[in-house]
This record gives sequence, structure tokens and C-alpha cells, in this order.
Amino acid sequence: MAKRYQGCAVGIDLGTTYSCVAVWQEEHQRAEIIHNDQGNRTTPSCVAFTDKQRLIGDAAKNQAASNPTNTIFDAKRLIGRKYSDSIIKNDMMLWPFKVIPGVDDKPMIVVTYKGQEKRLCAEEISSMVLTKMRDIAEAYLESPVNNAVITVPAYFSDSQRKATKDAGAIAGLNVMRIINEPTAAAFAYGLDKLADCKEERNIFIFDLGGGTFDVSLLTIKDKVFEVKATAGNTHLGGEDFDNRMVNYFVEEFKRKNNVDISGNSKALRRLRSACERAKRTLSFAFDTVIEIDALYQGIDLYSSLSRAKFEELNMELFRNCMETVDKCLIDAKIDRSCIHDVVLVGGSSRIPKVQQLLQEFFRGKDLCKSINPDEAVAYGAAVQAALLTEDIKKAPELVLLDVTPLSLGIGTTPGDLMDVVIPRNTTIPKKMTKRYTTPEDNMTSVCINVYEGERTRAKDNNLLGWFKLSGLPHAPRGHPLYVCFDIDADGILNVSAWEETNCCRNEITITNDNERLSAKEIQRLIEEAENYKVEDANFLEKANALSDLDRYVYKMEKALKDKDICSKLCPLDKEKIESAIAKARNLLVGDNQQREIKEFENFLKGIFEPIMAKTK
Amino acid sequence: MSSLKTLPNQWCGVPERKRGVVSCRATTVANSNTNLYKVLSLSPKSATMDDIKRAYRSMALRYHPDVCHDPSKKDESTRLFVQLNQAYETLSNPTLRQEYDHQLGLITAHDESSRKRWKEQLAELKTRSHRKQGSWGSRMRAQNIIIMMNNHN
Repeated sequence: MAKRYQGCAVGIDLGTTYSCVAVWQEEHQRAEIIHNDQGNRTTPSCVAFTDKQRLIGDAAKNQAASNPTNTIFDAKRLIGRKYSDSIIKNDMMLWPFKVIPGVDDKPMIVVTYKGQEKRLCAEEISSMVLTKMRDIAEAYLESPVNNAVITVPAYFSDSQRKATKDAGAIAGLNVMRIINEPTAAAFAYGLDKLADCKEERNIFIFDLGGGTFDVSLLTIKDKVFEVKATAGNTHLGGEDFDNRMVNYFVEEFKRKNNVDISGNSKALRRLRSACERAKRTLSFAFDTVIEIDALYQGIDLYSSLSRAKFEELNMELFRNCMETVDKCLIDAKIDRSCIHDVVLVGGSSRIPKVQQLLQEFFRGKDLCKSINPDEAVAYGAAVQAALLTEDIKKAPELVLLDVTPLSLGIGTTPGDLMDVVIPRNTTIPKKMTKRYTTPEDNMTSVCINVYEGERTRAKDNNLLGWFKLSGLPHAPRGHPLYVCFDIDADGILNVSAWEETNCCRNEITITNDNERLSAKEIQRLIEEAENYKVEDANFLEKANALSDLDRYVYKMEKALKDKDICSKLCPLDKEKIESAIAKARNLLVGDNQQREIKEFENFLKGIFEPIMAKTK
Repeated sequence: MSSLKTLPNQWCGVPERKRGVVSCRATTVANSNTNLYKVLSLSPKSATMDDIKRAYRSMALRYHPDVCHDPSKKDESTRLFVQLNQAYETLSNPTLRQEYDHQLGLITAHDESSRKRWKEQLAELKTRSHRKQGSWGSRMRAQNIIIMMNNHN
């Protein structure tokens, strides 16, 4: 039997604003967070396009203010959603980059790359971030990385999960599994802090990140991690707090100076960066100053913000978080007094007001801050990756019993009601059969529509797929049918239906094909990703060649200025060198092929070195 | 044969997708051919809640599909785990366990629990009929009368 997963396996936390990668280290029996080329342990989930090159991560974020329309962030808020989604409509007003509807209502991001307009889907942007994370891991491990466990918010829908998986495929990664962020964080906490846990412990994970909010309740004992319930909001996080602050300052600027900056993407980008910094400061200071010189039409923004004002601006969102916490506890049927540990995960969990509200909710319980909120998710993903890799002999002996975050069911007549087959928070894998009846006399076929969601009316939920069961025998209404939902450990759902006497049977595996990228498209995008990679490499080589040439010209100029050498040169040679330097200067300024540059450097060496040899 | 109108050729294409959905009278089908106590290797009489939990955990560590690294045995371990999970879900819930014990014939004094359930159903029906007394209009009128009377006072 061939090995399913070969090579190194990493865990990647693909975040809305920042991403993080970790790997399990067998010899140390712990996961290691991998730092990027800048020495940072998290990398901005940001991709930028310029007229010369493509940038990913820190480099992209650093130039965001000067190139706002071609710097793409928040791809996670677009992935697996429709253009007509009201959430996207609202977000678009705040994004400096352009989003247009594509085929099948798929949102497409428009950028200008090397002077040409390009349309990219969210999967592509995410795949670029994943490629970067893979490169970071490969540089550290000094070996190719082919397999990864990628995390998603627990409350992501089926289509968002599958789109994330596609992004992994485009990045050339074999996605071993998509796991939930709070569950991954629980792994990190459980493994690190509860090594010798003999008693049953109820752990509450509060994960407030850059763009999404999740809570999970787990029971840990004897190395079994059992998820009891999970709840969340896929559109609530640090970015939303920033948005409220940006809106506040835009209003203030308008009131004070009578100018509206809301249409200027450059000014908004600068204001947003300043707000993000101010927000972070307010987690330890009580007030902060926002200073932006010449924000718009030469007018400076000079203002201060107190922690109280920040809390007032975002109180509605904070309250929203607490409602979700309550919902999760109700779902789990566990009283808040039975929670042993409340673990904070995600950068925004550092906000003092959030911590205060959470502490009040749990009646003054101490919150656990002992794990790094930015890295815990990647750590847990690396643990899961190790568990799924058979090569690793000394993987920690753990098992994770995860749940379905959303109810799964079928639409029924009359009234198009949703009939839940697998309720939310059911441990997977799970198999469930339900008996239904035909609604009319002498029906020869029925349609089974499979939905995901919590709404009563079926069509308000997310349609996952549908199939037809035909060849039913003639019978009056009320003829029994059976529908079976079978969900495996990877979360892949298979729905089958059959008639009582088994004269007909049909089934469907939910792959979400019509919304997803087709295999052909993925292949095309993989090739395109390769192209980008080649172009990036070419750009780097060319930049290196240019800098080499520059260095050499400098060396020649320095030699000419040296009196010792100069006195030994004959005027003819001196002239030769001077003209060569002039030519080289022209070459450095213009846009040239890398090959030409390399050749010219060799040509320079051919002139310069024999002359220099004479002076010795 | 007027009812033959619903021939298969009417049932093709997407638009009529909404029409053919099955009726909502659904019942869960229990697969009762395996003894849930046996699945967890427990004795039906003496197993406490702790025993059930412990057995479930130790078996989950052995049979969860993630633990099994042999792809050819994946399906088998998924099947075993699904069964294990079913057993745990039923037996860890006191009401469901009592019902199951009754099904197995372990409890003969069935009147206690079934009577309790019958009473619960009766109570639920009573509250429901209370809630829906009269039409929306009649309730509104009744409310208005009360408001008017309050205003008078």
C-alpha cells in the first residue's frame, strides 16, 4: 500500500488578516511556529500587484498605503460567498480594491498587474498566501512541503470550506483536512497545559480573530478531545472594530474640516492603518493619539481616542459576542459554572472590554491567557497534521471528536420546511436514516434537496445539492421512503435515498460542484500560479543582476577616483573605462532584460580587469 | 388514470426541483440489531455513567478513523465508530437509556416512565391549545378592551 501522505506535513492558520504556519517536531514532542523571512511569526494575509512584480505578506502590507487599489486583503471574507451576498455588498464599500460579479455570481477581484487588468477569484488570492506560508515552511525545514492541515472558522459553511480546500489545491498542497480554528486552539491548550489531566475538564474556547468569531466547548479527558458545541459569526472581528473607528474619524474629519475623505482610497488606507495601531495601543493604554500628516488636501488629522470611546463605538459588537457565547452553552447543555477553563484565542481577545464582559459572563472566573492567542491555532493544526501522517511514529496519542457546526437536512412539502436529519453539534462521523413518505398519489419520482443551516424554511438555508429518486412504484400518497445521511471524519457528506422494497435507490456525495471551481479550472489556476512563481523568480534574479552591476560600476568609479591607481593609468584606458561606466549607468536606469544585464557585467569585467592588472 | 399526470418526463430540469420534495412526516429509523451495551463492552445492569464515558473514550482512542492509518481499514473503523457513537449517545442520556432498556426488556415496570411521558405530552397539548385560543383579531380586541378599561380607571 502506497503511503497516503509523504513528506513534511504542516499546519496552516489561514487568517483574515494574518496567517501562521507550524510544524510538529518529533524529537522535541511539540509543535514549532515557523518564522517568516522577516523574522515574524505571523504573516499578513495580503497580496499586492505592482507594475513590476507581485508581493505577498509583509512586503505587500508595507506598500499598501502607496498602492491601495492593487493591495488585496480580506480574501477570507470573500471566499465561498456569492457576489450578491449582503455581507459582501457592505464590505465592498470599505475595500479600496474593486470587486465585480463573475460567472455564477462569483465575486472577482480586479487588479492591475504589470500594466494589465487581471481578474482574480478569492481562492487565487488565498492560494497565494498559502504558497507564501509553504515557502516559509520549506525554507525552515529545508525539504519540500506537500501536505497541510488548514484551519477555518468553526462556523464556515460547506461552500466556504470547500473553497478553502480548492485554494490549497491551487497552491499545490495536498489538504489533509480542514479543521476548525477553536478546535485547533483547544489542541494547543490541552497538549501544552493539561499534559497530565486526570479529571474531566470542560474547556471553553473564545476565538475572536481579525475577521471571524468562534466559540467552542470541549470536554477533555484521557487524551480524548470531545467537542460538545460550537457557535460563531463568520463576519465579526478586529477588522469590524477598525471599520467603526474609521467611520468615526471620517465623520469627525468632515465635521472639523468640511471635507469628505470617504471616496479617497489612499487616505482611507492610511487612516485604517492608524486606527489599527490605535486599537492595539488601547489594549494596554487608556488613551491614544492619532496623527496623520496631510491626510487629505494637505489637512492633517490630529485627534485622540480614549479607551472608553473605543468601547462605546464597538459595544454593540461586543454584546453580539456574548450572545454567541450564551448560545453555545445552551447548545452544549452545560451550565456556565461547570466550565473549568476559559481560553482566549485570536488577537482581538486582548481587548480589555471583551475580557471584562467574558469574565462577568463566567461570574468572575479567571481567563486563561497562558497560550499565545496569535499562534495557538497553527500549533493545533500542526498537531492534527502529525496525527494524520503515518510516518510520524511519535505523534501525540490524541483523538479529536469534532462536530458538524450547522444542521443538515432535507426540504419537505408542504411549505418547503427544513427537516433536520443530522442536528448541529453532532459528533462526526455519523450515519443517520430517516423515514419519509410521498406527498402525492402515484408519484413516480421525488426530489431530495439537501440543505445546511438553522432556518425553518428550507430555501432560506444553504442548498448543498439535490438528486432525484425515480422509478417509484404506483402507490397512494404516504408511501414510505428512506433517506440516509452519512458524514465521514473529513466532513464529507453522502446522502442516499431508497424506496421501502428497495426497487429504486439513488445517492449523492455533496461536492458542491456548481459553486466550486471545476477540476479543469483548478488545473488552469495551478498553471497560472506556476507562472506567477516563475515571474517572481525572474524578477528577483533581475533585481539581483541589477544590483550586481551597480556594485561593479561603483567599484570601477572608486578605482578611477583613487589617485594611486589613476596615476598608473594611460589616458586611453581611462577613457575606455569612463565610457563603459556611462553605458552601464544608462542600462541601470532603463528597463532591460536580465540576460542583457548579466552580459553587460561580463563585458565590463572584460575591459576593467586587464587594465587593472596592468596597474598592479 | 388522471393521476398519471406526474410522469417522469415532467420531473426533469431544475425549475420543478421544489415540487417533488418528500412529505414532512418523518421518523428516525433506529438500527436496533446490535446491542448498544455490547458495543461498549458493558454490563447492562451495573454500568454507571462514569463507566459508559470511560468505555467510550478508550474505544474512541482505538476506533476513531483518524487513529487508523491503514487506508483499507478506514471504512471499517468509520463504521465501528459510528456504532460506538450511537451507543454513547443513547446510553449517556438517562431518558434515552431508560427507553432503550425498556426496549431490551431489561425494565419490566414500564408504567412509570411511559406514564410520565404521556403526562408530559398531555401538558404540552394543553399549553398549546391555551396559546392558540381564538384568532389574532379576537385576541387584539380583547387586549384593546383591557387597555380601554385601564384608561377609564
